[in-house]
Amino acid sequence: MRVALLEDDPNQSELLARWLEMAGYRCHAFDKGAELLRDLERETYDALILDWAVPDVSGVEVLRRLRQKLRHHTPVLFVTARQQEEDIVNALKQRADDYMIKPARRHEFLARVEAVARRTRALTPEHSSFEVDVFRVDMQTRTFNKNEQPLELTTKDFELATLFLRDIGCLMSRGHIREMVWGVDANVTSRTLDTHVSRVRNKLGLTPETGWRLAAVYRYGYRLEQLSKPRPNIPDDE
Amino acid sequence: MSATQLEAGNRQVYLVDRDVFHLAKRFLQRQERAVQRLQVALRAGDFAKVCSMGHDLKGSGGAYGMDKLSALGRDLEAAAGEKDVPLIAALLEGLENELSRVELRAVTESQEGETQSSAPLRRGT
Repeated sequence: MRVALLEDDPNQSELLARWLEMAGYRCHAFDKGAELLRDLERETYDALILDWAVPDVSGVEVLRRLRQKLRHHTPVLFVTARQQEEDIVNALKQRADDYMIKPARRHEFLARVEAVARRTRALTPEHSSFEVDVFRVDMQTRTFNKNEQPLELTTKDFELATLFLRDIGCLMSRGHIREMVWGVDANVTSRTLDTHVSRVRNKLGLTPETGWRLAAVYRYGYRLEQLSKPRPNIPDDE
Repeated sequence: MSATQLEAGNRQVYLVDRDVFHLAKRFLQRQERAVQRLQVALRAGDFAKVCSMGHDLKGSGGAYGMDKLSALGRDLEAAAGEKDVPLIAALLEGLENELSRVELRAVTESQEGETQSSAPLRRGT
C-alpha cells in the first residue's frame, strides 16, 4: 500500500514513516499542507495520514479541500495531539475515517491505518486470492484465470492486472501505478507503462463489450471501471 | 511503544527497538539543540515559539516512548501559554538535566519490556 503522511515535526514524521515502511507500506512524507495538496492533484494514495497543526494549510483544511474539490475518496486517518471533542467531531464531519490522539503507538497506529484502508476501500489482503466477475487470481501460485482458463501474463502484467482489479473504480496516478508495479527506484517511462496497460487491457479483454473499461485519464493515470452491462460492439459508422 | 524506560543509578535508560534506534538517537540530538533555541526564545519573550516547541516535544517524546521528555514538553507548552517565565526557565533546566541522564540501548522488539539488552550505547556515540 502507498500512503501519504502529513507531519511537520521531523522526529515524528521519521518515526511514523519508518513504522509504515517496516510494515510494508510505501510512505511519502510531507511537512506542509500546501505541498500535499499540490501532490494530490497528480498523485493517488491508498491512505492519507494527517496531522492537524502543520504550517500553512492545516490538516483539517487539507481534508476539507480533498473531499470538496479533488477527486479523492482516499481514506484519511488523523494523528494529532488535539483531543477536544469539538476537534474530533469537526474532523469526522469533514469525512475523516478515523482519529488517533498522539502520542502515536506503533501497533495501534499500524492497526488503524490498515483498518481505515480496509473499511473504506474493501481492500483484500495483498497475499490473498480473490475473484472478480470472470477473473480469478491466485496470489500464492501467481496464476490468473479468466472463465476458468489460465491466462499467460508476464510478472509485470500480473502485478498491473491485480492492482487494477483490487481497486475497481479508483483513479490511480501514473506515479502510483509505477511505484506499485515497478518499485520506487525504477526508471519507467510513460510509454512503457502505457504499453503494459494496453497489453493487460487486451489480454484480459477489458472492453465495454465485456462489461469493463480500463480508461486513461488524461495526464493523470488510469481507472478500471466495471460497467453495469456489457455493451455491444457497434462500429461507429453503422 | 518505541522504548522501555529503566532507572539505572543516575541514568535514565531507554530500551529502543533496533529498527528505530538511529531515529531515537537523532531525536535526542535534536532536543539538545532545541534547548538552546528554547532559551533564546525565552529571552526574546517568544512564547509562541516555546509553546510550539513544547508541543512537538510532547508528541515526539511520547511516540519514542520517552515519557519524561514528553511530560516536560507538555508542561513547557502549558507554561508558555501562561507566559510564566520562571516556570519555563525551571522546565528548561529540568529538560537539560533529563537529556544529560538519558542512555539508549538497542534491543529487538521482543526484548522491549525485558531488562536484557545489548551493550549500552550512549547517545551521540
